[in-house]
Amino acid sequence: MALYHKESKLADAVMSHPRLISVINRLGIRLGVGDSTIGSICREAGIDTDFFLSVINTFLNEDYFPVNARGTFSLEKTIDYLHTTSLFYQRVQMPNIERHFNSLMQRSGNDNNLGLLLHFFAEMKTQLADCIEYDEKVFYPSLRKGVVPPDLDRMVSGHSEVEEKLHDLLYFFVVHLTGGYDENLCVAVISAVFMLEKDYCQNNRIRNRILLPMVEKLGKSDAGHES
Amino acid sequence: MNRESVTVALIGLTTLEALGVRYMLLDEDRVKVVTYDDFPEFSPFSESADAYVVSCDCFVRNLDFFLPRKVKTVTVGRDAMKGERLIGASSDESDISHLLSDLVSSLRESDENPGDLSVREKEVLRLIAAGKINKEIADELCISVNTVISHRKNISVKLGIKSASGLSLYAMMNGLI
Repeated sequence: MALYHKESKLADAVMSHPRLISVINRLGIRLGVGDSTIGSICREAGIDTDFFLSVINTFLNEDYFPVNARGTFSLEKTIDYLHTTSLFYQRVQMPNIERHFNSLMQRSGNDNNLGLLLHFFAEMKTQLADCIEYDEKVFYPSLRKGVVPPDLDRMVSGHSEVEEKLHDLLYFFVVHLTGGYDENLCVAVISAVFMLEKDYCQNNRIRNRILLPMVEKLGKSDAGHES
Repeated sequence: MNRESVTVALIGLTTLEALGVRYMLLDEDRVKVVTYDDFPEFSPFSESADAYVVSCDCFVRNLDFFLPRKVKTVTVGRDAMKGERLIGASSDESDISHLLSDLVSSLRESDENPGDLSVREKEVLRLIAAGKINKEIADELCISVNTVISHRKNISVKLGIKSASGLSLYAMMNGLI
């Protein structure tokens, strides 16, 4: 997949990858981007162009590691981005899945295993909420104070387990769904879960490849001050 | 369809090497191990073996036989001869265990429909669904933790399910618990 740079037109990037719309929204850019390049849009919006490019390139490319991740990016901006992402999950994507899922349950018979899948979804939702709560109450505040947060492994493994559960939920729908159900509503649920799963995996990449190197650097600098 | 058992031939190994490999294969379910001093003794029975653990010297002397069967062969020899399926004098115990376990599992998988779990894998899945951790599963089934990890990996690959709670749900849906 092609990498975007500051001379690339943002409209071209979004037209090729519509999933970027929610990402640029979280970075403070709204649709109606005109014909401008990423560099000029970022300049006008007061956004660090290198950071913007690292986020969208990491989001889109599984094999991309931002070269600047240990360097000049603002920790605050990265946290702000991930915080906005969590809000998007909690306020938009999870309620959206829930709404479709509840309609699906109401409009489908009782001869299926949707109840088990709904239970699995609820479990995943609780774990996601726990991860976000830990991020918001412990992880980000600690980083904002310049301190390496406790339980770093717990944070990483928690998000990775949510990612696995999202994958499994999709897989259960596709492979193990039995009995009668409303097909249109089922497609709506699967599409919404699919969108969240993609977004979540891609944002875990951003967390692991942009934020964690910063935390690592912070840890080394703490160790340097102590010695 | 599942194989009743897998036969592993140990060929040209020293007594200690053969004892070590035989001991590590004890953990594996339904595996029969037969030892041969060298290739001429093994040759008449070659059709009865499903996999081969063979000394490097024997491997090199009988390339015509072993090369086409490379995926079913593990070689034992000097560390200088690095290879994907090579056990050396200083190989880590858990690496050897994984190597042998993967060899046996891959043979079983080649005979099974995708998604078919072996009896042992179903037992492991049942215990995962009961919330047991790897150590508890290993103790209950009298196998090593490495073997449990290997079974978990195979179960996940076969079912396409990654999380422990997803595996529990699968077990519930399929009447395993």
